[in-house]
Formats: sequence, C-alpha cells, structure tokens
Amino acid sequence: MNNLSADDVCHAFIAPETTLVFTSKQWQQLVLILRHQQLLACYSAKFKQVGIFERLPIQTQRHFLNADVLAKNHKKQVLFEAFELKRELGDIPQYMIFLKGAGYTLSGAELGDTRIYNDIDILADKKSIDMIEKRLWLLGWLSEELTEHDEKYYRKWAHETPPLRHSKRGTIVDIHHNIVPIISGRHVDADKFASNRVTTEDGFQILSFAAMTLHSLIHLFFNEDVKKGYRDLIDIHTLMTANNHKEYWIPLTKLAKQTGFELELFLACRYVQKTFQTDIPDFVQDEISQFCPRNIAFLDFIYEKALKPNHPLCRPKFFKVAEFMILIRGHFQKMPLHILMYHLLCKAGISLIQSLFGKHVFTKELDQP
Amino acid sequence: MSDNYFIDLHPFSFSVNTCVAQVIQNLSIIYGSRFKKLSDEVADYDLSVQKSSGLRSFIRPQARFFCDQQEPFKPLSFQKAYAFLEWGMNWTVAGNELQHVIIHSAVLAKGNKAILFPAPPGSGKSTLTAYLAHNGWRLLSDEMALIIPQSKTVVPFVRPICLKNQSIDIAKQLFPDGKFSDIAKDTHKGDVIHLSPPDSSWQNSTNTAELVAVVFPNYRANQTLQIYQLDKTQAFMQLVENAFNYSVLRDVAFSTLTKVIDNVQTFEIFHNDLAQVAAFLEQEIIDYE
Amino acid sequence: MHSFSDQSGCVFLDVQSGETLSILMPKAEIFKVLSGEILIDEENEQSTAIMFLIQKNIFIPLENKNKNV
Repeated sequence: MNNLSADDVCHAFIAPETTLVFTSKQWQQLVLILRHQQLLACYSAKFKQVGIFERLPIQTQRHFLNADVLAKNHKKQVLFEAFELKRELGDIPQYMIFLKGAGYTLSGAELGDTRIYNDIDILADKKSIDMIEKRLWLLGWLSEELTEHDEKYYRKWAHETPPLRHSKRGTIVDIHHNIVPIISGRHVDADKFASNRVTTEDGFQILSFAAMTLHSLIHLFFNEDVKKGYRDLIDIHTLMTANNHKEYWIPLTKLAKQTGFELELFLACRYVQKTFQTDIPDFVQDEISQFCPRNIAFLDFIYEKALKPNHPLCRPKFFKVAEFMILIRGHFQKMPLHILMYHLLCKAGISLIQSLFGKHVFTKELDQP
Repeated sequence: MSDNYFIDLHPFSFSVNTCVAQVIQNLSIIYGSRFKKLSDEVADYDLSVQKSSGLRSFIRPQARFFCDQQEPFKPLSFQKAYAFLEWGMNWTVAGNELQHVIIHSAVLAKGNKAILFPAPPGSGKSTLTAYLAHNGWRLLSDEMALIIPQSKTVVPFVRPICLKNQSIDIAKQLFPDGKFSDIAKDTHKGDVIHLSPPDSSWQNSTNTAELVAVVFPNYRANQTLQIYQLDKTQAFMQLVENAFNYSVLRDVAFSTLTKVIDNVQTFEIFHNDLAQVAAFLEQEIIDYE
Repeated sequence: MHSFSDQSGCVFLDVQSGETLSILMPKAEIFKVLSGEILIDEENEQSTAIMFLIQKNIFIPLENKNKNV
C-alpha cells in the first residue's frame, strides 16, 4: 500500500477529486499530516468548494468538521481581541495595522476563514511603540518569558518588542515597528508599507492585499522560519488567486521594487507556480524574470524541499538539510556576519546543553498536566 | 526499538508508539483485547510515549508524551509514563473533539438512564464511580462525559477509573480481583492508580444513555447521608466551569447545557457510605423517573 | 439568555467574548429591577452582574429609577 508523499498532499489541494480513490489508511495519513501543518480547515473548505465533502469517509469528515469548529471559534476570538485592542490603543499611534493572520481574518477574505495562528501581529509607528507597550502592561498584558539573550535580541536587533501575553485570556500580541530587523542593513521604510494600508468596514487598519502578499512572502523567503512553509505558500497562492487583476499585481511589483524585495517576489511566484500551478499573468512574469538570481539551482534545491509538508510521514528526503540551509541563509540575510556568529554560538550553546541534559532543563519547576 | 500499537476506544481510536515496557504492560492489563499491535487499523490520533534521551536519562529518567509530533507537556518522571499517556489521551480528545460538549466528570448509567457526577479532586468521586461500576451500574466514563449537542444523550467513552491516594487502598480492598495498573507516585494529584471497569461497561461501550440527573458528590468522613436539591442556575454554572470545550463551542455548549439542566434533577450529596449513596441514586432518581 | 425552570436565576452568554454570567434572580424580578420597580441599593454580585450586562448592551434599563444601575 502506498504511503502518501508530499506531492500527493499538494496534489490533493490542486485537484481534490483525486483523493476519492484514497484508501482509509491514506485518508488517515492525510488527516495526520494536515493536522500537524494546521491545514485541516483549509482543505476542508476546498473539499466543500468542489462538492465532494460528503463523499469522504465518515471518520475523516469528523476530523475536518472538528477543524471547522476550531477555525470558526478562532475567527470570533480574533475579532473580539482586535476590537479590544483597537479600543484600548487606538488613540496612541499614528497607525496601527493588523498584520499576517489577524490581517487575513479582519480583511474578510476567504483566507481568513480557515487560518489558525497563535499570535496577533500589529505594525505601529516606531515612536508610539513604547507608549503602546506601557499601556498594554497597565491593562494586564505581560511579557513572555524569554532567556536574557533572546530578550536582548528582540529589543536591540530585531524589529519586534518581545511578545506580550494577556494575563487572563492568554492571547499573544506582537507589536512590530518594522518589517525586517533594523540591524540587517536592509533598511525598509516601514512607512512605505504602512502607506499601503486600508481600513475595513469595521474600522480596522490592515495592509492592502498587494502589501499583505508582499509581507507574507518576505516573511517566508527573507526570514528563516520554514516550519510552516507549506502553509505559508498556500497563503500566498490563495492571495494571488483571489486578487488576480492588474490593480493587485502592479502595486505588488511596484512595492517589491520600492522596498528592495524583488528577489523574494520572484521566488514566491516561481514556487507557487511549481507547487500549485498558480495563474500569474504574463506581464508579471516578464517583469520579474529579470530578478532571477544566479544561484537559482541551489535555491530550487532547498526550497522545493522545504516548502512541502514536513510531517515525518511524507517529508521529502534531505528536508532537514534544506531547512538548515535556509536557517543559515535567513540568519545571514538578517544580520551581518559577526553578529550572526555571536547569535548562532549562543543559540548553539543552549541547544548543546539541552541535548546533554534534556530539552526542558531551562524551564522552571516541571509543571505537570 | 519503538513499536506501534492500536487502542480502540470508541468513539475514538489511538495509535501509540512506544518502547517503554511499563506502558505496554499497563495498557495490556487495562484495555485487554482492545489493545494490540498495529497492523492496518486506522487511528484518529498518533500518540507516543518515549524515554527522555541524553545524559539526563541516567540520572533522572523522564517520560515524554507526543501527540501528532507535537510535545504539549514538559516531561514527567519516568515512573509516571503510563499515567502520562492516560492524561495525554484526555488532553488530545478535549482539545480536538468538538462534535460533543465534553464535561470533566464521571458519568454512569443504570440501563438507559445516566447520571453525571462532576467533581473537583478530593470529593471522592472516583471511589463512588468505582463502587457503582462494580455494583450494577455501567461506566460511560470516569473523566470525560461526551454529550451530543442539543440533547441529553451521553456517548460512552469508556476508560479506566483514576483513583488517588487513600482511595487506592479502599479500592484494592473492595475489588481484590480488579484490573489495576501500577501506582504512579507523587503526581500533581498525589499517588495515582488506574482501574479498568468491569466487562459489562466495556461491552456496552457503544450504547448511549439519557441524562436524568446531575449529582455533585462530596465525601465527608463524619457525615451521614445529606442530600440537597441544587438550584439550577448554580448547577449550570458549575457545569460550565467543568466543560472542557465550552469556550470553543460557545452558543452550542450554552444551549446544550441549559437544556440539560432544565430537564434533569440536580443534587449535591454529602456522605460517608457508598452503599447509601447508591441506594439513594437508584431509588430516588432512577426509579423515580 | 436562559431562564431556568425552577426560577432560580438566569444565565447569559456574551457571544463576542465567550463569557458566561449568571444572575440569581428569576427573569420576572430582573425585569422589575430594570424597570425600576425593585430598587437595588447594596453592591452585591447580582447588581454587579446586572450592571455589567447593561454596559455590554445586553440589558437596557427601562427606567432610571435605580441609582446604582
């Protein structure tokens, strides 16, 4: 009996009807992989869209239905939190833009209906950050526990204040004042992104779909975190497909050029097409082909592996190698070499100790479930 | 070498990957034929219990629990490995299963009539549960009651009874032939042991039952049987506090639980004699309906 | 909102935040409070709960005879 491969999982997204020949074992594998990647609700919507949901085995349907309930509830919670944050902080900053997952949900786009995410990300102007943080402390939001080293990294070098967690509700909010770390030498005028904001019907500030897409692909291709690479690629594909018109593509390419992320845009378009056969207009492809880097073969090698579902059941061979190389590349892009070495050494030091003494040696008293 | 096992726990199923002998033995004792080596069964959730690796595993060995590749808890001392898996199963179901309103409580039935026993630790609920299960009642669950939304119907999720501290000795005396697991010492609940319910509970694991009462038991050593009718608003709020997935199900949970409370009897009991409680439940509640 | 058959009180679910509240007063009495027929002077759990629900626009006082409400 054939185990599912990563490509089978991708294919199930592009052509859901092909899953109807799955054996019950293959369905189980699909559920496990999707649950791990937090994509159950996303695929559930796909199956319903093409009208085959009722033909899935009952046991499988249950798992998708559970995910639907979770996604629906998640959306309600995010809306509630966003209202509260707007109410509590709205008067302080010049702008307060909900990014990433929260942005998807507040935009009302289909993408926001099935997406689960852990934090609420907000972009605010740099000079308001301190006041925002102080106001949140007063309202019962506490800093997440970080090692001293990570805390320094956040404040000094990265573009985020450490995340804050609401003491009663447990929600985590990340306040950003930039898109990429200040130290990286890639200066991105946060205001350029911020000027691409729109206001939703409910009065929330979010990025335009073009800016949202660019932000998402910067996060995937400039930062090093590909743990949910496949899911992030689906996000980009969904945004591109839902907004496939000139008024989207032109601002997207323009903003990419203005902010210096043409390479990332090129890579994003390349890999969504390879994986999902995304429809990208010819004029866009012509425009961005000039940004094809010389080391594209190497990038293909690492990204074609890393952007696939990475559950042990179907993870592509050499996935770990690819992931590691992206980590190095990502860190390198974020930080000049000497700072990178310091950071990596510290992090390596920590993981060396953890590997000798067990993963949780840095945490306090074992708390039992 | 880790092996894969399959546990059929209607309405859910788990595959368990482990090489820990203690876990395998205990699963075998508690679950009998429902526990077997995995061949081509299809499980709902992929669980794993492993021994912690590295230097630490020699000094103070630990057990780690994984659900679907994620590790939601910090490791526990190795001796608690089997109990860890049981709690892990509770957590997995409570966090993922949203087709039922799930209450943290015991639920037992006589025939088709069921009573819910929500109870905080220390109330002696589990001893009462064990007693009833061995005296003509069937156990639908010891810790997780699954209620079908907009109804009073409970779906059995038969699992072992979790007994703590003094209850352990009492149970061993009362049920010398019982299928007990090893004792897990010094957990957050104290010493803990699991007891498999009698065959009749297992055989009826697919038969639903209708709720007729919600009873809050309290064991008090010096207390003869006292029964109070609990007002419904308070009973409802207690249920809400004990509902695992209430905040996710929201209005579905709210309307299900209000309906349940409106249509069952609600009591609080103080007692020191299990047989008296059983008699009260049988005569005043089950036979009364 | 739900009012229990034994008249022991009412419970409310705030659908936005998911919070659930109870008021240990039968429905009829709550309406009397809102209309000013019954006055609440002391601060107790019930009056706090009623005030909270008014703030959230779940309750609207029919008349403002109550000083605390």
